[in-house]
Amino acid sequence: MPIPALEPNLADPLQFEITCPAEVQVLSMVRRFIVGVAEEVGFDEDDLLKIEMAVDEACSNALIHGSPKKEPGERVEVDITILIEPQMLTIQIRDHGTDRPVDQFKGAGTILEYAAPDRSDYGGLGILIMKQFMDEVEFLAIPETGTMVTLRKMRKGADGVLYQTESSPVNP
Amino acid sequence: MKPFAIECIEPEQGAARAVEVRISGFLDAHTVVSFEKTMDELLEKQYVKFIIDLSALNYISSAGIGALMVLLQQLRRRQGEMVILQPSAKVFKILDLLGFTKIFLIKQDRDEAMHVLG
Repeated sequence: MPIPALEPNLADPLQFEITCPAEVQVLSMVRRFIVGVAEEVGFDEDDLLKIEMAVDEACSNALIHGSPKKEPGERVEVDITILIEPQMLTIQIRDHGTDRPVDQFKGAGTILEYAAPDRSDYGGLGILIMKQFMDEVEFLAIPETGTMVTLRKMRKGADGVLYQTESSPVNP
Repeated sequence: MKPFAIECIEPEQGAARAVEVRISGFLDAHTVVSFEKTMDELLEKQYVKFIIDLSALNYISSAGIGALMVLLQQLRRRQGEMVILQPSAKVFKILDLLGFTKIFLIKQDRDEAMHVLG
C-alpha cells in the first residue's frame, strides 16, 4: 500500500537545512532531494518539474556567480533552507558572493526577447524560469554578505484548490 | 539516474553532411561545459548541419538551452542549421513550457531531420 502524501493541514511547519559545497557537481543531488520533498508533500507532476527547474536555476546562480574565489584548501558553501507549511513550500538559497553584477536579477523579459538572433550572449533565462514557474520569487542582495533567493510554491488545500499568496495572484 | 554522456557520429562523407550528436543524462550548469567543448570541436571541423538527438536526455536547464541557442546562432551565421531529434517527454515538456518548441526545429524521425538539413 502506498504511503499517502503529507496532508496539507500539517500542524507544524517542517524545515530542512542543507549546507553544500559551492560546486556545480552537487546540482543534480540538490535537485533530486528538493523534488523528493515536494513529491512527498503532494505536488503534482507539472509542479514538480517547475520546482525542479526553478531550484536548479537559483542554485546554479548561487554556485557559479555567488561563490567568492577560493583560496587553496578553503571551503565555500551555499546554504539551502526548505520550509514546508500548510499553504506553501518555500525554498531559500543563500550564497556568499559579494561581487555579483548589479543587474543580476534582471533576467530576460520574454522568451522572444531572449531568443533574438542578434544577442551577444544567452544569459538571463534562469531568472525568467524562476519567475515564470514559481508563485513568488524574492531576490535579496545583502552587501558584504551575499545573495538570498526565496522561491515559493503554493500547495493545494484538501478541496484541491490552490492557496492564494498574500502579495500576488497565483500563476495559472 | 543515467550519467551525462555525449556521442558524436560523424558522416563518412565529411562536413558537407550532417553530424549527429547524442546527449544522454542531464544537461545543466555542471555538464554544459563538456557539451560546449564538443560543439566547438565540431564547428572547427567545419560542420554546419547538426542533428541533436535528445531521446536519452532526461533534464535540461537554462544553461543547456542557452548552449543550444548559441550553437544555433553560430550555425545560422554560417548558413547552417540544427534539428533537435526525438526529445524525451520531459525535455520536450521543458522546451514547450518555455516556448522553445517554436524556436527550435524539432523532429521525431531521423529521415525527416536529414531531409530538413538537405
